[in-house]
Amino acid sequence: MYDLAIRGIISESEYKQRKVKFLYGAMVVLLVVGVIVSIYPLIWLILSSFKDKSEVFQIPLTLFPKKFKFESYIDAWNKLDFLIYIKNTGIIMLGNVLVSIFIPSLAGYSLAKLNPRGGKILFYLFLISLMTPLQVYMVPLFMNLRDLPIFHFNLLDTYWALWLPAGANAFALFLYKGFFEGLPTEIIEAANCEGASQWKIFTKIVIPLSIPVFVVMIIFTIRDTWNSFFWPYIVLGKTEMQPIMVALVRNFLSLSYQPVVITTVLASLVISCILPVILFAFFQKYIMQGVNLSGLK
Amino acid sequence: MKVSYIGKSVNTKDKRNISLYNIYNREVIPWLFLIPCFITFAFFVWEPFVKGVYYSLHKVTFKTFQFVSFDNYLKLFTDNLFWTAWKNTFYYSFLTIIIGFLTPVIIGIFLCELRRLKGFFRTAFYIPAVIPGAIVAMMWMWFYDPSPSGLLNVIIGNLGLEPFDWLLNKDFSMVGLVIIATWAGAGSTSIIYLAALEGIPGDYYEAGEVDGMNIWNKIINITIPQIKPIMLIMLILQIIGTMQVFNEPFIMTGGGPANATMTVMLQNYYIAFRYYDSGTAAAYGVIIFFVLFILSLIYFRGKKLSDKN
Repeated sequence: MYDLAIRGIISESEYKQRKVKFLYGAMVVLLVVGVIVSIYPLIWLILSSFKDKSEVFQIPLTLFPKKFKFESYIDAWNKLDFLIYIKNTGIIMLGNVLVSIFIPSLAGYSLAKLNPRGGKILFYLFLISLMTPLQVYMVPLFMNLRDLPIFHFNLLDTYWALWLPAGANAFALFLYKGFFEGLPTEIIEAANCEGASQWKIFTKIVIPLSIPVFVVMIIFTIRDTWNSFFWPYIVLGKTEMQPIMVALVRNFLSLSYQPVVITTVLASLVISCILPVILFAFFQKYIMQGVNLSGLK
Repeated sequence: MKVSYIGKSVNTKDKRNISLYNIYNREVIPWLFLIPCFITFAFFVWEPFVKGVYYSLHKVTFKTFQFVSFDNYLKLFTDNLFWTAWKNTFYYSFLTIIIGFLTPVIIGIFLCELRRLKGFFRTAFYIPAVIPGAIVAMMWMWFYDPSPSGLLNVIIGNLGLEPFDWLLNKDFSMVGLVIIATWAGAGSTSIIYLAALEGIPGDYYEAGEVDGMNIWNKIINITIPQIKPIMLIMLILQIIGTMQVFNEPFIMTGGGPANATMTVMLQNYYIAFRYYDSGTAAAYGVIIFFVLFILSLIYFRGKKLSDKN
């Protein structure tokens, strides 16, 4: 459907010219090439995982497997203990979701509507945190987790080393703050005049109005937890506790030391892509909404 | 945007403002809401950052904790690998700008011009960004397999070329990493440009056509100036982001053939977690912070200047 309100550079009258038609055709060809470059490696990955293991490296290369074999998937599932690692990832996800729903949202609401004393300073502190990359303070953070200040716990090799820093999510904070600032204050003021406590206002009025931003936050958290590699790799030493990406990489990098069937590895990669793809397919609307809510500075 | 705060009456003489309940409501509760987040940030962001600066001036290993003033910094500045890592990191940034900055812009413009199937192309370009980064790294590592049966080698073999060592080749390895990053990231960036391009009012183009502009003129005089702010933002975000590149070199090359892909973050990781030299690693973090800080200042300066025009 050609939407008249949004128009490109080429106008209707220009499009009728033969030269422009040719340019447009060339542009479409380039786009198709781009799509092929984007998608082909993934198609190759998926189809190769169904091949018989001798066929993968066969010359001449075949794209479609001669026969679809599912053994590699059963093999990958069993040999690589997928269930354990998926369970681990699930536990981490649960903690991360709880943390990122409660902690930044309260703070975001406070900064948006409640104007605490010294709020401006805090706002700038949070903003600076957004701009400092993890690697700048990752060493002392690691040491903090090894020997928590004041409490002197060792949180390494526990899931708390992932859950607690997840609360320091400046992106979530600003997402919530931006959203809450958009809520009409009149309703909240009215409730306040009726004598409701702030907590009751937050739970009974603000939260039901804020379902969209919470849904977006949950989806982002689930996706980021599934994809996360760096921090779990550093903080979790015990292999039985590792989430899926860490286990995959560890397994993949040890390939050179032992003969591993290539199709099993490919199958394991494909299995691990299923969740992000499903999230994207079903929740694309919310993800795009999340991009709009956060906006570009 | 009307800013309104809860529990405050505008009339300053109003007795309601002073009651104990109101003070509690106005001062204490907002901070109670903030406390969990504040504690989390304090423990896991701010205190580590300050402690990092403090540690950078000490020799910190398992057994020692000793003030050595700027020794750690000197150790880094006299280390050849340190300068190699910075050179590599800037080289990586530079390559991503050459290969990966204009590509999303062009894709965005093309997508905007499409008259049919726009949604299909948009989704198709976005798909590589959906795949987790670690999986992208492993997948491409397999493509880049230097043996004659590696996928890319077979493809170029069909074109009559010898097998290539790809990531083991010290001149190509960095380019190889950039290609992967562009493949994964260009799609999502192009969607951002697409949104910006679709926001250009059609009247501008109409006015341009009345003035007799052809397609090329319209691109130069209308399209590019309209998306210049976004392009600037994306450029600085790209530079700052590519300086932090870690996953690809770590998983794929571990620093590369003869340190060709040793980046700043990777070296920082090695110093911290292979050599357990926490003091030097902390110093590294401080140096990285300063460089990023200066880059951000340049960005804000540049933005101010361009806003003036």
